Amino acid sequence: MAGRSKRAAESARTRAPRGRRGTLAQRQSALLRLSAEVAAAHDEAEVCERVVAGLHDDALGYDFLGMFLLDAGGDRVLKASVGWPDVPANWRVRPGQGLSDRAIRDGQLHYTPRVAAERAYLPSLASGSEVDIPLRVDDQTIGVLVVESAEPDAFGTADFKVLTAVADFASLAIGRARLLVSARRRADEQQALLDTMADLSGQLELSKLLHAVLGRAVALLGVTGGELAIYEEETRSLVVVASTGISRDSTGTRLGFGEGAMGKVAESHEPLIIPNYDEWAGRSTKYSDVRDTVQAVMVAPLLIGQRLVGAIASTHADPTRNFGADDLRLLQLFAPQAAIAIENARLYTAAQRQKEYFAAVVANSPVAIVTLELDGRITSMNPAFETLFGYTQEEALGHDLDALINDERTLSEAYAYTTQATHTTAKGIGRRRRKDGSLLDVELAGVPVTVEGRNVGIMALYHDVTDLLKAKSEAESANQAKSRFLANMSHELRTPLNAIIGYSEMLKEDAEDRGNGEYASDLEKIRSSGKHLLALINDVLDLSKVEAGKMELYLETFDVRSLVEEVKTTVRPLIVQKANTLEVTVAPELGPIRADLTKVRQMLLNLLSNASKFTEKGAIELRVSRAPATTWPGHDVLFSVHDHGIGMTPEQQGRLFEAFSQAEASTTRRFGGTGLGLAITRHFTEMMGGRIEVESTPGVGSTFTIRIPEDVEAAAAGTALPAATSSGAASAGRILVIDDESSVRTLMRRFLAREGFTVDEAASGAAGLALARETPPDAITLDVMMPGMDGWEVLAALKDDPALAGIPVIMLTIVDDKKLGYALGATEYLTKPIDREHLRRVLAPYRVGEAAGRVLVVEDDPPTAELVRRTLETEGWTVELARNGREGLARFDAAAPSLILLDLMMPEMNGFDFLEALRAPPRASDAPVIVVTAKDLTAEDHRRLNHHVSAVLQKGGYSRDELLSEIASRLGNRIRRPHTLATERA
Amino acid sequence: MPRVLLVEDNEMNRDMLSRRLMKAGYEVAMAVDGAQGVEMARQGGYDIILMDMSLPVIDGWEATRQIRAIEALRATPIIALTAHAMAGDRERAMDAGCHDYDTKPVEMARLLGKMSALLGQAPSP
Repeated sequence: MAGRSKRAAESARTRAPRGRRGTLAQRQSALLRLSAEVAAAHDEAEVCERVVAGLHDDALGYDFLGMFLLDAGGDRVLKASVGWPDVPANWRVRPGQGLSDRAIRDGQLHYTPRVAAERAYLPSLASGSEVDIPLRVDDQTIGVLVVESAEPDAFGTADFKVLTAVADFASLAIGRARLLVSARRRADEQQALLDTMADLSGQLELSKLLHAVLGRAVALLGVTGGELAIYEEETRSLVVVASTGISRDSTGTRLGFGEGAMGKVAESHEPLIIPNYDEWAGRSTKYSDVRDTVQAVMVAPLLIGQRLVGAIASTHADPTRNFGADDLRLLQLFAPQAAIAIENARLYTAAQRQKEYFAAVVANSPVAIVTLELDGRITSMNPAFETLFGYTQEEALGHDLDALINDERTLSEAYAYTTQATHTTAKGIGRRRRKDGSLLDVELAGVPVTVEGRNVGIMALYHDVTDLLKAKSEAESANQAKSRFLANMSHELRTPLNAIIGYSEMLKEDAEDRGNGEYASDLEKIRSSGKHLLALINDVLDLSKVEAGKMELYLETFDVRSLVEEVKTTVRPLIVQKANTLEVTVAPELGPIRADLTKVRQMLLNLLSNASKFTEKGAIELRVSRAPATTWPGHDVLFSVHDHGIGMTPEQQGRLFEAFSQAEASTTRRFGGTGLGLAITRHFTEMMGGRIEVESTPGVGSTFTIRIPEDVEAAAAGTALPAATSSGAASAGRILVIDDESSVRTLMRRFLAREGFTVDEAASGAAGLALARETPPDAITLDVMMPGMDGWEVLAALKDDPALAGIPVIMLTIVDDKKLGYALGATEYLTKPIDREHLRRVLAPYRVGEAAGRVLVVEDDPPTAELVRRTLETEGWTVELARNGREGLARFDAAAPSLILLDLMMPEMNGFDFLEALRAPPRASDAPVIVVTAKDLTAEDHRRLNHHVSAVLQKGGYSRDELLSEIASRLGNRIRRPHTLATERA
Repeated sequence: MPRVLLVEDNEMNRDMLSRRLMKAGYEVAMAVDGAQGVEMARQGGYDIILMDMSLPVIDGWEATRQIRAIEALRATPIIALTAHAMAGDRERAMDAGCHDYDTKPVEMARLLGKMSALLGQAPSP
């Protein structure tokens, strides 16, 4: 301070103090009073007023005084003055103007003894001399105290001391007042923000909240108006949702990114101050009519993190209202809170809408919905519940649901559902009781109600299915009636057809015999129409069974090769009829498969007869192969039928597998057929877990491919076959059937294939020998009575060939009891140790009605004899024991038994000798004999026993199936047990 | 000349089948229901029996079982004839004691083949 006033003090030393001022004591007292008053001032305005008033006091006697404070822009703004006429309040002096500018710039006291000599002097204030004392706080100049006198050279050192002192304590007081104001303002802001937050967080209804936010911001900033906009993500634009204090309600105005002040901040995420909106180049045309109310504008983005929620604008109608750092700070404090409040309200509104939506759904649902406490008490219910069960809210709320709508018959079941629904969804169908006691069938569901992972209650739903169940049961019985009707119809239709076909066939034969060709051809028309009708009936029946889900699969294991051969034979007439050829290729690795034999046969016949139908003088190919499956971990068998027929367009192919839709309606007339074959084939294929595909080119031909799992059963279970049976090599064995009768061969093949054997066939002895040499089988079944080379000759030829001599041969002769005599007469063999079950089975056919007969057991081994005796006695047989052949013959002669069980290895007279004696005259008995053999039969034993025949089986009282089953098990035994095989081979 | 017992209730089928069988060289006797079939079979003298399954009085399955129970007829072949072509029909017939099975309408050549096979003869011409 001393340095600052030194130069001025020296320049004033020459002047005498002015006499109109008071005594020293008076002046000191006035100064003290002034300092006390200034110190007590509340704000800077009051400080300024007291300074000028105190200095003007008589004791101090300064006439012209002014206190200027600097504003944010550096202008001196007059806060208080005395003695200056015609000066406006808040008179501004721009930087660089006036004498006091010097004190502002250098912070020193400046004395101007002759104002008139200074060019910088403002002419409006007449003045002789002037002192300018800077006001400084913390080394910053905040203003200037200007003291003037009408006289030149009016001030001296004493004045400078007094004025400097006053300026110093005024500066202190202003600094303190400003601190106070600032602190108070911050406190006010904090309070206002707190109030705002309290208001806003309490206000969750979005529209009210938005207005509250805007109102709070306007009040906080002390502005005349404002706008609040929300950002819409879908349209990337801002929508004004609240406005206040501007010329018109701007609510609903939409602003794009970068459009207007709001659009700018939305784009930049930075606040923006526009001092003069009218002159601002970026203003939106949507705001051209708000000039009166919008002068200064400050806009801030509303952000949550980096996410834009909206924007808020504060506007002021007064152009002199300059938004400054304080305003900005305040707005930036406020904006995030407002953003969060708006976001919360939005979420809440969305949740509220969803809640209302669900409430509306529940209220309008035709399904009865009721919510329960975990203990089963009803907490709420919808109108459908009231309607369905007849209880009002008052009657139901708080009551146990299950007790309310059940009687004693269903209560425990209902409790079980409710208990389950406390932790997991429970569903079912049950009978419940209405308030009036009537019962209804409901489909019900119980669902746990979970809040934050905790089960807090149950929601139960009931849907009346009384009518539905009734309709379902009616539909089921109608369907059963339909099935019965179809079964009956099929029977009723077949019976007259039987006569039609039969009589026309008979008459046709007669006509042919009598040479009446015209009648014969007409009768053939009747016959073939009858056949066609029969095929239709069969197909319709099949299809209706498939569609009613009544078609069942009968899975058996069979040899594909045999099946294909059989099918080939069956379709041969059709092929020949159209002068076609059929070429069949079966991949060598194909072995037995497990599927529905009948259905596979039907499918193949269908495809082949179709192919033949649509091809003339062409080649038809059937290829059977094996490929890894895609639908299960095994292999599929592929049957592919290729023809060179008329082919189909893709459009025709699309309808191909639908019932009653041959490629063209005219096709049926032209080519015949029921139109159902492919639909049935497709159904069958799918039932077996396979599929059918077609490739076709019009005019070139078609290829139909059926693909079914090699083991339908395993495929359905999704498991692979054990490796041993999944390959052809693992076939149970290869059997050569030599028989002149095709029906016998068919029967044998079918039966053996089912047991897993691969079957070769020969229709004559010569063919059989050739085939055996080409592909040596594991066993041969040989018919005895054959034209040309008979069975015995074939057998001899087999045994003469070293390569074939080891193959077991089973002589098969179908003769009745009277014609017995080709062999020694063993009816059946059993091997030791005896299997009791097997024994029972073998003997069962010999029982006559309920009473079993007498059995002679010729056996030297007591334990075996005892076992046989006990087993037979429990079955009701009367048993006689003989220890050797001789004893056996004696017993036989005493009383002929109905059956003989014969051991071969016995002392004195063995089984062979016994048999020879029994069959030879004079006894010549044809009593059935079952030979009980030991395992260690020698080749010679076999030879003696049956003339090189491994087994002679005679069809006696068994059914053919039982006979075949014995053959199969015998073959199985031989082939599957090499040890036994070795000893039994001749 | 082999003797056939034809058990069939439908008159037309009976007439037609019998005539065709006779033409094929069989001697044919006829029964119109299951009970009569069993009775006639018991009297003996038939080499083979053709048995319709849907018969009045007692059905073909039961008639077959009763015939099978007669010791003298244990080996007499019986062929079941049925208008049902249901899977399982064949098994039922076999279980009852039939030797073979055929569906109606009868395919004459096929039936004659089966009969010959069971009679141990070469098929009729």
